[in-house]
Amino acid sequence: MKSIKVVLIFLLVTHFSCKSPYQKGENIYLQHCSNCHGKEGEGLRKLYPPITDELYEKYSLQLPCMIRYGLNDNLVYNGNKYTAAMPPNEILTDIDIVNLVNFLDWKYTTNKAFNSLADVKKKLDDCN
Amino acid sequence: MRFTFLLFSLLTLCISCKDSDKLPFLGVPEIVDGKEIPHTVGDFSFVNQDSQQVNQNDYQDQIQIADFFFTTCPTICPTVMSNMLKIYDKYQDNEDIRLVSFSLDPKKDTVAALKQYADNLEISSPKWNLLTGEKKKLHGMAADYFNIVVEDEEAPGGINHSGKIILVDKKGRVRAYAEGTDENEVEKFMEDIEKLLKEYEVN
Repeated sequence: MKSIKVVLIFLLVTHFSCKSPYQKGENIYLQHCSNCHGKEGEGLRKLYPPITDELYEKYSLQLPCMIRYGLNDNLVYNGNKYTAAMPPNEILTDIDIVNLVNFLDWKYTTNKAFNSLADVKKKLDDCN
Repeated sequence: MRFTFLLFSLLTLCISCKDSDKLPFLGVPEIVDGKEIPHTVGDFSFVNQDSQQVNQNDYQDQIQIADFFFTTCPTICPTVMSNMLKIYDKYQDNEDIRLVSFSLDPKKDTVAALKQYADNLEISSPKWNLLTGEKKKLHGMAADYFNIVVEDEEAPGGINHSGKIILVDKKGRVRAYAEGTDENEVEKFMEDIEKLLKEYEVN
């Protein structure tokens, strides 16, 4: 009985605490992504796109490749064409990218999928 | 006796309070005929995002808020620019205040590139001029505005530079600065702008 209570309290606390369960991913986001996309993923006017659920879903399959190699194509969202290229982040390791993608999934999607290292490695191997 | 002392200390306190409201003149002063002349930012002539020539005379009766950037800068620039945007929005209707951003990468930052950047940030000249021109001269301006620029192939974007936002009064004297990436410093900088505006209200 006691242990159930402890587990329940633990679950409650983790549920309500604002800290992300993906601290490493969050740190990588703040260090490598937030300059352009904003601390809360709000973007910067029409210069850099926000990270929204909708936009995230659209690009989620190619996300590991985008993070590593950047994006030169224009990105269209909410009737606005974002023309600035996203620079590559080749300094990030596969594990960094897994942590980052998991943080982004947790923060910006409703289904909050979990990505394993193998999932991400496979996507990275298939980059164009 | 005690009373006089109290009065005197109150008076000094009053005066010193008043003094601290005035922003200092920053930088190394020049000594001419035994008099200290505060550091001023140098003369320049560059082109803005709308192909217009801009020089120091355009800021003769204006308070300048300046920074250094380049449009493809992936590191500190966006954060500095989003803080500059806060200042731009706040003083949109204040005729005394102008913002100016000097490009450090004029090869890439053509007038067309600056125009696109300005449109994307939803800002307009002459309220906020983005300036380009001769690289040597642009880099030369940085030191006048307390910024450091080093070309560095290893740095993201090829240029390593500091992200200070500088407050320059109507006579070209540097009066305050903030690290443009530091929210707390920028908040204090906003108070410094108010202090400088008050100086001109009195006169």
